[in-house]
Order: sequence, then C-alpha cells, then structure tokens
Amino acid sequence: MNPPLKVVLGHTTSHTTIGFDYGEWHFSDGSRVSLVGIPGQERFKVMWDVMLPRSSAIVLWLHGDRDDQMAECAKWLAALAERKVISRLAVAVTRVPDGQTEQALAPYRELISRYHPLAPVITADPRNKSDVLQAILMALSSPRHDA
Amino acid sequence: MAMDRLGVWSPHRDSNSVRSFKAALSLRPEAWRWYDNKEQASWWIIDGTLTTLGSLTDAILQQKKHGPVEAVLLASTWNLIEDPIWTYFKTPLNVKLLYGWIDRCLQRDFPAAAKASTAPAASLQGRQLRLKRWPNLPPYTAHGDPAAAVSMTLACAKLLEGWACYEEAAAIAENTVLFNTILADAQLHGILEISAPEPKPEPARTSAPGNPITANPEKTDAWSLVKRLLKKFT
Repeated sequence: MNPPLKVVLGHTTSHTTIGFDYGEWHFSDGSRVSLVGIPGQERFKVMWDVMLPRSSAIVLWLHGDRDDQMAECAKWLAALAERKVISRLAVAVTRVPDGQTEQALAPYRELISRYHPLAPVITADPRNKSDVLQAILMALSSPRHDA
Repeated sequence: MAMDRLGVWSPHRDSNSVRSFKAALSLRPEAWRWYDNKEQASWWIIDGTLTTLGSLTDAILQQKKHGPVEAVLLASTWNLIEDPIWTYFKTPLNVKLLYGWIDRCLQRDFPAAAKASTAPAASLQGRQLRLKRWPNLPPYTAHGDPAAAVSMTLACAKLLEGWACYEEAAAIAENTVLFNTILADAQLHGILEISAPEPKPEPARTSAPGNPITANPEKTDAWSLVKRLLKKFT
C-alpha cells in the first residue's frame, strides 16, 4: 500500500497542554489521506521537523481575537519557510468579528504575501466540518510558490 | 476624463488627518488609487483645518454629473459644513466608523455584486480572467454540499494559475450562480483582473493551466488528492 498523503493542521496553541490529533480518510482504491494536527508548543518542534516536510498541504489555524496573533503568525511563517514547506500553506483565521472579515484578514495577507503571495488566507471555524474541508482544499489546490 | 470609482484625491495629502485616512484605506481589501487630478477620483478627502469648503462644494456638485462622488471632511468639528453633500469624520479618525461607511457606499455603488447571484455575468462572457489572490471562500460554501466547495475551489485555483476564459472556469465551478457571486465580490475587492475582449494570455505563473497535473510532480499529488476528494464527496 502506498504511504498516505498527509495534510498537517497546525494550530498556534502555546499554553494548553495537548497531544496531537490524527485521522485518516480511506478511499476505495486503497489510498489514504492522513490529517495530522500538530501542537504549537515549542517543545514539540521535533514533531514539526518530522511532519511538516512530509506533508502535501499545511493549514495554519490562528485565533483572530488575540493581540499576539500577528507575532504568532510571523513565528510560524518563519518556521515553515525554514523547513521549505511554505508553498503548501493555507492560513485559516478563526474568531473574526462578523462584518469585519476583509479588514481582519488584511494584515495577515500582507504578512504572508512576503513569503507566498498566492497563499489562501481565509476565515474558518475549526468546529465546522465544511470550513475545515474548504481550508484543506485550498491548501492542496493553491498554485505553488517558491519562497 | 474617466472617473475611477476607487480613485481618491486630496489637496492635503501631507496633513496628519489625510495621512491617517490613507493608512486606513490601505488596510482595506480594495485596490484604492490616489490621483493628482480630482476629476479622476470619486473620493475627495479634505482636511477641514486647511481650507474652506465653498468652492469645493461647487466642484463636487459639478463632478457628480459624471458619476458618484464621496466628499469627506476631516475636522475636529462639523461647524464647517454648509452643504449635506459632505460626509463628516471627526479627527482623530474612528476607523470602525469609517470602514462601516465605506462598506455602505461600496454596496450602494456596486449593485453588480448583489445582483450577480441571480443574473449571469454577461460582462464576463468571452473574457479572460485572473485572480490576484484567493477569495475568502468559506462564507460562500459553508452551507452548500462539499462537492460544490471542491468545484468552486478548483475553479478559483484555475484563475489563480493564470489567465483563463470565464466559460472554462465556470464549467469547472458548475454552480455558475455561486461562481458569479464570488467573481462579482472579487471584482469589488479589486482582486479580479479582466482582460480586454481579445487578450494575449500571459504565461501561467506556475504550471500550464491546461495541464497542471503533468507540469509539476509535486503538484500531481495535490491535484490527484483533490480529485479523489471530489469523488469521495460526490
């Protein structure tokens, strides 16, 4: 059986102690898609090194209501660029106030465009299945950009 | 002289209040353009501490004959206003109020975005299109079936890869009503490029648009995965 394609879902949790999430989609032809949720804590960096280079796509989840999110976003972009995987990135921002979507996304787009001008930057709720699917689809189908 | 609906003019570009206004505009998604010639601009931004409004009010009334004009007065007090043609913003600027007002103006002046869901995008038919960046797709696809989300994503990806004709992208999208809405909003936000009727397509940014699967080995995996997802959800 072929090794599964991997989609890494990174989230910027920095305080809560968590493990990591793993799931698989199985297809009738025997192929699999793995969904891996990797933790944001620095002490799990070894997992980033293992999982990120093997991924087919990466979705970075950010909390739009936190003051330090731009710094968090910048930290993750640097980490992804260092591992040469930023071309597979989509950024999903959650907890964005209604009616202020475009304004809320603008600073993220500006920051991310320095690394990957065509990276999707979207609003999404990780509790909503369709939003998660949409974020993954965009990460997978976005034109690649060599940072 | 043609007016640019996202064109901005100010005789006081160096004033603090106008610079604040310019900074706030630059954070919005639309592609605002600043002009030296006020006849080209639909948004006139005036620092009320640096001028009187009389002659400008006359000029705005004249300009309005050629299209919509938003006249903005930035000042610490509204006492200067002699004509309701002006929209007053107290300085220092409240960006939330400003954005809310701009949103309402744009919604009023770009009815195409609202109508697109029920009318075909006639102006786009036969034209080559290209997206400058991804639209924020989840609000459009959240309540539809997953297959629609896949199709819409692939159609937008096509327009991000390089120039593609509207019909080709719409065929990928399948749901043309939803696709037209996305394109109309993209146009409103200044991220949709539309070629002249007989364009010269530029080379694709990455792989060839017509054959993205074989052009890039890394891409092959992603596209085949998207195709399998499409099959899984349909």
